[in-house]
Parts: sequence; C-alpha cells; structure tokens
Amino acid sequence: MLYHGPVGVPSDACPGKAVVRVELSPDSAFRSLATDITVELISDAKEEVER
Amino acid sequence: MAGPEAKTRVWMVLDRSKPDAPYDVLYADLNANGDLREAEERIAGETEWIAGGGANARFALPDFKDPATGDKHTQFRLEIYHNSGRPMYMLELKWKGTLPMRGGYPEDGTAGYMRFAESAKEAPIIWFNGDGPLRFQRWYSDRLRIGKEDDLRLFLGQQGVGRSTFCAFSTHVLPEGEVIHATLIYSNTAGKQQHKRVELKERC
Repeated sequence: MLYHGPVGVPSDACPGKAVVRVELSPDSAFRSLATDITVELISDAKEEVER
Repeated sequence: MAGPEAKTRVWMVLDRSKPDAPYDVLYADLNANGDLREAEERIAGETEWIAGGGANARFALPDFKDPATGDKHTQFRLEIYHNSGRPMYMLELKWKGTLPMRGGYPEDGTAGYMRFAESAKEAPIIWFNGDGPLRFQRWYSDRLRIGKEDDLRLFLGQQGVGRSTFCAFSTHVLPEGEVIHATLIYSNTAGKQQHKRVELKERC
C-alpha cells in the first residue's frame, strides 16, 4: 500500500529543510492535490557519524 | 468525517462496560445526527487482555451509509492494539464496498499511531474520502542524503486533523505502471532554488 522510489539529491544541495512535492499524473483515474512533503537534506558524512 | 466535502461527521466514544473492564464498548454516531445514545449505535467489542497491561479490542460496525451522499461503505471496524506497550487505534472501512482504507497513520511508527482523546475538543479526526482529490503522507523517509539516492515512501489517501490521522488506501489503487510524480525543491550552494523531478515507480 506504499508507493515509493529513489530520490537522488544533487551534490550541490545545501543541507537543511527541503520539500518534495508529489502528485499524480493529470491522466490518472484519481485526482490528487499536490502535497509538499518536508524532508531534511543531510550530508552523507554526517549520516555516517550518526550511525 | 466522510465524503468528498466532509459533510458527514460520525463521532465515536469508547467506554467500559464495568469499572474493571478494558475499553469494550464503542458508541458510534452511525446516522451522523449528533446523538450517540441510540440503541443500534452501541457496539460491544471483542477484547483480550495482553501481558504488561492494556487490552486489544476489535469493534465490528454495521455498514455505514453516508447520509450526505447515499454511498454505502462496508467492513467498518475500529481496532485497538498495542505496539511496544503503546495503544494504537486504527479505523477502517471499504470505501463504497470496494476500496479498503485505514485511518490513523503517523509519518513514522516511532511517533505513535492515532489515539482517542480525553475530550471532543482534542479528538483526532479521520477523513474517509476515497473519491479524491487525494493527498500523500510520507512513511519514514524524512531524511535524504546529499549526493545519494534514498527511498521515498508514501501513503496515498486523505489527511485528517490532529496527530497521526492520515487515512490511506490499504491496497494499491493505482493501476500497474502508473507512477507518482515527485519534485525535489531545494537550495543549492549558490543559494538558488532548484527543482529536480523524479518518478516514483515502485510499490510495496
């Protein structure tokens, strides 16, 4: 019941809050409202330290 | 709440049949008239005490006919169960008898699932609306690594009001092959806002 997939974050992105705006295709049988998902962009080095 | 315009409000109240019982009685305003005292709106649950305190419970409600739309929704249920000692409440039904939906999801499991409140003012609100327009909620996936790819996982359904009130389809309603469009909006090191589009093609 989950929809998912990889989201690549470019190397020139600044760490901190970002948004992923998600929506269905206009051709979908279902209507959707674009939804902003707030995410935290983190440096990979920081992630390794926390692990 | 139910329906595309959320006009129908079905209040629910949990009670105990006797002082030392777990929550084993549910009052549900199934005709949405604001009165929970009608005889057919008192539902006895199946309960089971669990080790460490608390009790799991399951309430099977009659099919729900939305007085605002005339639509009939089936397999209406409230379940209370425990995860690591914490009670979790899940409300579910089959939208128009075909599409299963469950309400009570948090953004991640560590935040705790929906819980009933002590007062109406604080009560969480679940919105059953399978017709759309639909919204999304993440499941974990709150951190993405710069320079890497991470999995973004999403529920599809409706956002309620209050903590842990997302109501999601509990089956894959989108046809095989249909993707979800995602746009990462971020600032780069030069301070410029950037957009990067991806398609989410997987499901689980």
